[in-house]
Amino acid sequence: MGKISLSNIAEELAVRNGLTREAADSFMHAFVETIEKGLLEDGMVKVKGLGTFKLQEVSDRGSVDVNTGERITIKGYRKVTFTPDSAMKELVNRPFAHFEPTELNDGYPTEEELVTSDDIAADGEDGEVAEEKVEADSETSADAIAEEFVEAVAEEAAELVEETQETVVEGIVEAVEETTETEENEALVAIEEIAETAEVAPVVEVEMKEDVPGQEEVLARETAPKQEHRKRRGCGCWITSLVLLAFASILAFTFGWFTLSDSEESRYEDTGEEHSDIVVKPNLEEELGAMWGDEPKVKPQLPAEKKEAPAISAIPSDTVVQAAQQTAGEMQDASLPVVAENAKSQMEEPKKPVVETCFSSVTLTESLKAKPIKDITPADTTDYVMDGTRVVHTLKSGETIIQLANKYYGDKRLWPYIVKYNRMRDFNNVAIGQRIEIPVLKVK
Amino acid sequence: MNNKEFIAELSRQTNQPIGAATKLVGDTLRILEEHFQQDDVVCISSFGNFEVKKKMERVSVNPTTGKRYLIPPKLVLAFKQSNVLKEMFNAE
Repeated sequence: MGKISLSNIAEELAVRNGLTREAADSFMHAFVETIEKGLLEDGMVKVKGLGTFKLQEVSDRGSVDVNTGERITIKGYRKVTFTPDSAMKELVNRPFAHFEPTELNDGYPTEEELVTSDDIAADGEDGEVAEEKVEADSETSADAIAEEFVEAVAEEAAELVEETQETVVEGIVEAVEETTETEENEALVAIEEIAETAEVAPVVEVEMKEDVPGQEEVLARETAPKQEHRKRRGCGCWITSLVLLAFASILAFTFGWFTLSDSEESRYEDTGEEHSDIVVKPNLEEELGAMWGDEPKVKPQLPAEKKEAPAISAIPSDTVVQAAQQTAGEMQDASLPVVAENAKSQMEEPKKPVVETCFSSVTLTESLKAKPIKDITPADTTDYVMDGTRVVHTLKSGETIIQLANKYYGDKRLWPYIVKYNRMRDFNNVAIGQRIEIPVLKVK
Repeated sequence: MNNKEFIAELSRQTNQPIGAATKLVGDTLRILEEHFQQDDVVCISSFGNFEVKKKMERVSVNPTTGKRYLIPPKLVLAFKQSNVLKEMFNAE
């Protein structure tokens, strides 16, 4: 980085070519004079490897005298311009040659970047989702779906069963409302209450089976949990979870009973009350599933088994049978009910696909199919367009954008849409009380 | 005056064959290039200065598509004529 004069160049030239210093000097002067002469003669000189010198006219221009303020005219003149030729340009720019113009986006990561980072972020999510999901039932969208199901249940119940079951459905409706009111409650409380709603199921089942003659086997097993249940109405969630397990054992038993003995099954179907009981049950469970934000957790696993009873052939999945066996196994471990229940709820988390297949085999799934997100595959996550705001969500403590996606769309992989819709710059750093608009997603 | 005419004229002025003049011109340009790459300012008195200047990166917008592009920084060779040269061409 220094100043080089013509004589310096002549010096180097002399060293390089073995010329005398004077010869090199005179050559360099001749070089410059030739350029000047060429410019004088026809206004331009092209030197290969260096560039083009041109003589350009600068026309007259008006200006103002700085001191007097008078308008003056600066006379036009001719100036020598120089344009390096491409070889010289590239050579000079070589240190920066690797740069290329890049298109700018709007400051947030592109779709592809988000999808790839999603997998990493999602991994840590699963453990807490089970409890977090309980809050999902508090939201309006989930409520709407729950109400739809309640209505559907009411209709079907009216067709199929007597008044006793209608009262059961009403009880369920109340329970649903009760559950939806627990918006801000902690996860455990919500679990407890949902468990209570579920308690209605075994009780009804047992009571109805008491009316049926020739069901001693069933009675013997089912009265036990029923009496147990009545005793500890006032007891805490510990006993509630016990009831859950008892209920699960009944389900497992019923399932095994159906599959193993066809003769008994026919007998079962002959008794009208028993049959209708089983029809109502899936509805109830489905409704619970809907309440849980379309993402069936602890409870919805039970309907999987329950529905299998009336429609075994409709469910191709082997895993459902496995699930039933697992639940049956837990029945034997009932001495540790709380632990077992926790284990079960975690275990059931990854079984979502099973529940989905079961759902699709049930008649009430129209409203579920209206939500195409259910059948999503990883490749589908870019197939939606955002169309307006579905609901505005105010962030609570501990919530993440991924959880919102799970809550509203039933699929946490769709969270980039929320980020994009809200134009969030840093989706890892959100504040409590921040308002997040949840977009409506439509299939492209 | 193109390159060929330039070298012919140069060889005539220095009383050298054209081949020798071509070689000398090439060597001179190599020397100049080396100095440009070292960010040297080549001052030819009575003619002008050659200087390598850095242009900073900038954001430009494609007017037809509205897309914004980041144009990277670059180095360009600039020439500024000397006053002697300017007067030479503007003397009446």
